[in-house]
Amino acid sequence: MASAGSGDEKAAAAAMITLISSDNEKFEVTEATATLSQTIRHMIEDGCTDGGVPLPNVTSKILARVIEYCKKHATAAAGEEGSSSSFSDAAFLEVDRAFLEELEEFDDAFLEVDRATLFDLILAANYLDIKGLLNLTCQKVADSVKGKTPEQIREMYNIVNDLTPEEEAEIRRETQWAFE
Amino acid sequence: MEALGKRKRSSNAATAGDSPAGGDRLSALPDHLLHEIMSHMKARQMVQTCSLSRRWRRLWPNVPRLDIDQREFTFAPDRGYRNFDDFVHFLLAKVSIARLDAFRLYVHVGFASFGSIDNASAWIRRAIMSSSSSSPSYWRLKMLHLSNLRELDESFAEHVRTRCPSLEELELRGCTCRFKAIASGSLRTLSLRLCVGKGFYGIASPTLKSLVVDQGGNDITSPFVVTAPALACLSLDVTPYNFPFGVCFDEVASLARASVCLKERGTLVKIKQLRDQLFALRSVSNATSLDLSGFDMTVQEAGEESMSSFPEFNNLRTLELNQCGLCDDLRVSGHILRNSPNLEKLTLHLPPCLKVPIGEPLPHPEFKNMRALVLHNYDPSDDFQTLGRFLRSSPILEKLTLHCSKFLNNDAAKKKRGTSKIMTNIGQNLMGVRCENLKFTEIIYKDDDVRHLIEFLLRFSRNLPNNNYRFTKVD
Repeated sequence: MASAGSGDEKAAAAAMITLISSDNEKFEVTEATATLSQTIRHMIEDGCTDGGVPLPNVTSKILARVIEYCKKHATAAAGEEGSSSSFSDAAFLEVDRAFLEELEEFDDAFLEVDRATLFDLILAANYLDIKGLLNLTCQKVADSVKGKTPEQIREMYNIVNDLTPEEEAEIRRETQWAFE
Repeated sequence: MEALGKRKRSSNAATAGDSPAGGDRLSALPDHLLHEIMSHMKARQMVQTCSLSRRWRRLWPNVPRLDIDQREFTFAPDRGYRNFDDFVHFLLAKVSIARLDAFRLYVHVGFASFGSIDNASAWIRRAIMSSSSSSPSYWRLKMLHLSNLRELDESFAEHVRTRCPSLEELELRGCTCRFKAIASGSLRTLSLRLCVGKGFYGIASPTLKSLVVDQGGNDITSPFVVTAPALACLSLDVTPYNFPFGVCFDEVASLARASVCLKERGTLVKIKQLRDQLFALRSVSNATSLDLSGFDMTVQEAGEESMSSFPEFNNLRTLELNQCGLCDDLRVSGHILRNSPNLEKLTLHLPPCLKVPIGEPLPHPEFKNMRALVLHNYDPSDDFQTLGRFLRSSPILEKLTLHCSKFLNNDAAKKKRGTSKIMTNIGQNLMGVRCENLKFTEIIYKDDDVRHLIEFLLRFSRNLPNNNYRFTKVD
């Protein structure tokens, strides 16, 4: 069962994985949801998920959010696979389109978190190797500084400017073409 | 947006969450995550991070993705685009394209004509030249997007073919392609949007999955040849300019979804284009999902000999027809329908102000698997001529969506014909409709003319006891 094919939805849905957060909370998720994380996917492939997967770097609060993301996006991935293989649901393709919109809305709402949580999510996405989530959260940080001056960015993220005036002058000289 | 003060959680955060700087969780991220964040910025903003603090100073030259965009710069009356020009020059001296994962370059359409030479194309050319004289000579790029470059020459195509072994996604937009072909053993997605070909003869890639050719032009005097046996997804916007002699596909057995849009119907090149249209149709006849636009011609116009070999669409499950005229037996669109026995979903954009001729003698094709039907521009006052015809042919239909057109001069027409005649017609037109599976009908309308909708409903629902309705008004 450890090698349940991703195409076989029923088998994937039946196989449950237990994830254990750093504060020892247990989360039961389907294999389809868990394998959005490449880290967990490899563990499943190596057959070392019996008795649960300990995730010492992720708190229960963050893990709950990550699972929420994975659940939503796992359904999307399954839908995509299904439609390209058989088209038996061709009649309801427009539902897919609506679902994609819904997914976007979900992502937007998902990102409505405080900065500390956002950084925790980035670190969790990195540790669990969930590409989509890492992209989403990094994009959010990049967007937040868009059009801001270095001074504004420092203030926003509590960055202490430890450059000496000489170093600052040097940077200006080296990269003046970026600031003009 | 978020409250800046909420930093309590940093104490029990995941690895590397705490920072010696006390609350600067951004700078506390490891380099590769900061690079990940910087990869989502456009180049100028990205470089500016070097002045944040020491931590940031030397990060940017190692960023894995670079997005150079002239829209980050404003046109200075005294300097023109020289700021941007200098910026890219210095940037590409510091960051080698060869070791990037992704590279995007956008210059304004007028950038090349501002100076006498096209600097943007020159940057690419020089990057290619400098990497072929150094080692490693390969670019590790997975994704390359170039916009509005006017001088992409043979050296570019050669580089893509031989020295970009990881390139999966290539998009050229508004570029002038002065090379014979794009060939690649790694490409999965290729988009050519508004590109002008100068002696650009074709595309060859055994790995290509998705191809988009969106308008543009080409000066070749032979068909454009696409050799992409693994192609699964195709979108062609065909005009007399981008494929002046049509487009020719080698076997595309795996094609799943295709969208072909023919522009400039019924103009000078009509006869030749008709042949090309059929050519395009044969190429996509394996697809399971088709979206065709502009295939508006009669089979007579297409010529007898082409009709004898009209393609069969046996794999086709989903079909959308737009600007393909009436789907009657005189039309190519009608023949497509007739030759698509396994259709599950049909979306049809009805031509405005036209109705199916009354008393059409030929039988309508049977859609034994059709589960969903969507009619755009539907005229509810046509006495079910169009609808009845489709419903009769679709015994297991489950879902019907009608995007209603405005009820044009409806009352006047009705008065002329007289009530009793209408009722007879309706009876005839809905006769034989046995859509027992029809569970859901959605009616999308613009008008406030509820009376007509109710009238429509009363007549329509008579034959369909299991049906549910939803009405949606749009502006």
